[in-house]
Amino acid sequence: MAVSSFDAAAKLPGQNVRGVSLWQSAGRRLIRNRAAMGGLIVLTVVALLAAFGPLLSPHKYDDVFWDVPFSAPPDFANHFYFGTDANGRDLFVRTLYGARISLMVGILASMVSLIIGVVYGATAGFLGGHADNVMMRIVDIMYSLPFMFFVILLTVFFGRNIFLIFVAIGAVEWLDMARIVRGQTMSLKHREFIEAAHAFGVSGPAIIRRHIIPNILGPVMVFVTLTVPKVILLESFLSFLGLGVQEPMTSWGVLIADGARSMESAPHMLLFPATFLAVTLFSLNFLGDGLRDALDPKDR
Amino acid sequence: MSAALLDQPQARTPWHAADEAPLLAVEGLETRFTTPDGTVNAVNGINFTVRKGETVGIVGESGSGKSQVLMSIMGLLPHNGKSTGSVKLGGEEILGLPRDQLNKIRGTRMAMIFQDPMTALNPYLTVGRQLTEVLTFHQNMTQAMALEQAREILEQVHIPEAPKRLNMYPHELSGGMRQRVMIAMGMLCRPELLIADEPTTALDVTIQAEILDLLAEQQAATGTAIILVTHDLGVVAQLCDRVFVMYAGRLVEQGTVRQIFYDPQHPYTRALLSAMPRLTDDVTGDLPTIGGQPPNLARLPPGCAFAERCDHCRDACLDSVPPLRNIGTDRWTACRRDAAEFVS
Repeated sequence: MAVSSFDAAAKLPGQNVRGVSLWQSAGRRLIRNRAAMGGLIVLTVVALLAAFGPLLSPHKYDDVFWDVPFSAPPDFANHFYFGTDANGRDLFVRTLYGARISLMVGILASMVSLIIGVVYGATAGFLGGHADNVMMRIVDIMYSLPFMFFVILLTVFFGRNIFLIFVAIGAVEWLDMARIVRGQTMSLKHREFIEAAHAFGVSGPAIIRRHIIPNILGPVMVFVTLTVPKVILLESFLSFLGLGVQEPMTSWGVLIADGARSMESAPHMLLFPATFLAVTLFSLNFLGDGLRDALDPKDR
Repeated sequence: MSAALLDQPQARTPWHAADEAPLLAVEGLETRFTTPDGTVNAVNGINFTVRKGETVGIVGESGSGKSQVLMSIMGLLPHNGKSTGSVKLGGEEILGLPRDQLNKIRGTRMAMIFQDPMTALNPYLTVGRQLTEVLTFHQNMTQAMALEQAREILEQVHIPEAPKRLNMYPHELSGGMRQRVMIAMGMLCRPELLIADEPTTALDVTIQAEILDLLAEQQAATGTAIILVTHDLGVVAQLCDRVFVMYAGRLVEQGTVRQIFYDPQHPYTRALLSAMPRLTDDVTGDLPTIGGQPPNLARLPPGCAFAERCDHCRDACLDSVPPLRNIGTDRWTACRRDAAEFVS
């Protein structure tokens, strides 16, 4: 890839000198990574299924079918592709509705934690001194707030709402990210190229944006891929306690909890949602790993 | 700026035009670091001037404070460092300017080249991005214009196949190429003052010579003044007009290259020169060295800092710091004794 683009540039000496940004070249390297692209394709399929899959079935996610056996295995004749759950609802549609919630929570909450954590951590690490002290003590204080207490407080004030889960999880998960990013920034701060950027009169925010953040993206990407499954599991935990999504709406975590209860009599109830979750997390890990490699220019 | 950026040699201002206001005037510069072991006096009252278009060298051994002088001028001291005194660039005080004002000067009116081109370029940015950053930041150029100019400057520092180098990452270039990129970055905004902190130390000898030639060529083309910090006297001899010798954070001798090399006055300069290996030397014996250790900058002696290692030390040397005394036009030494006394 690299060679061919250089050849193209060499053929046009002097004209149309084009710059390749970190993201453009990372995108190209990512496309060549088969495992990462496989992960990305699987994730896209899961996301498309979550968005449009329920249209494939004549059933609704909250319809209770009294005339079919409960907890029954797949029955294609009656369009119960994944069978029914303990309350006689279509598991296929419910799994895909669960995918909507779980993917949304997993990805949105991780993005919230990524953005806040990186900006906050990089700023604290870059400024150092008193500013760093104050900013990191704020993080410590938020760490020491009991998570459940925080979530209960939110639900008391604002009522039960799926967006509260984003807020609650995002507000907690960025703390880890901020600590990791701060540590990385501190070690980068005294590298010569940061000093060189100072010497060329580049302002602090521009140094953070252009020099520090690209250099910490590797570990950050790895951490994000660890955060997404964590967040999905955290959501199912909240739902289990009755603080997250409410029946008849569902999520993978809720479905897996239900399935685990009846896994001896009706293993399909555990198998289908668990397979979806496992495949999604697997793909995310491949994608995250590929992204980390792609973002490292030395690795091409 | 245009294609002719570096192609029009300016008439070089003769460095001895002493009546002209200096480009850079450093007066009473002192730099202190607060450390857990006490205050480290890295720079102890330095005065010097740099005229337009001249090259001055600052030499001294490791820990003599030469890099800290540069860092103080550029305002790049770490948090525990503090400079006092005065640094005037073109008559304007720049020491202690707030960051946002300093950022308007750094990169445009004065630029810096770092010692190790392996670490002074961001490994995550292509050469093109690093070069254009300076332009888009300081001159509000569009990315396309900046890239075009980056290509031009790469050609001016003799980097072959400049368009394709723009898309390369620093690790894909050799050390000499990277240092050329650093020099290109330094020259981008055509600064009045280029500060080079041991620009050839990390390079091998053949590349050193090329880089020094390049610096001289760029200077001739743009009329920029260069402060060159080095511990390599060969580099000084090749490039500099005037030389400042530093020891323990003080200037101990100042003169033209010719004067410093052929008529050194201060015992430290003499010792430095005699420690320089020559091709004609008998190579069987040990290389001459300066005995002893440089003084601890946290606990400087009350007298001459070099006294402990000096063969010509007298009682008076231990009592008080010998002042720089004028012994000719632009010729200063911080030794109480005349060089003639040492020969006997």
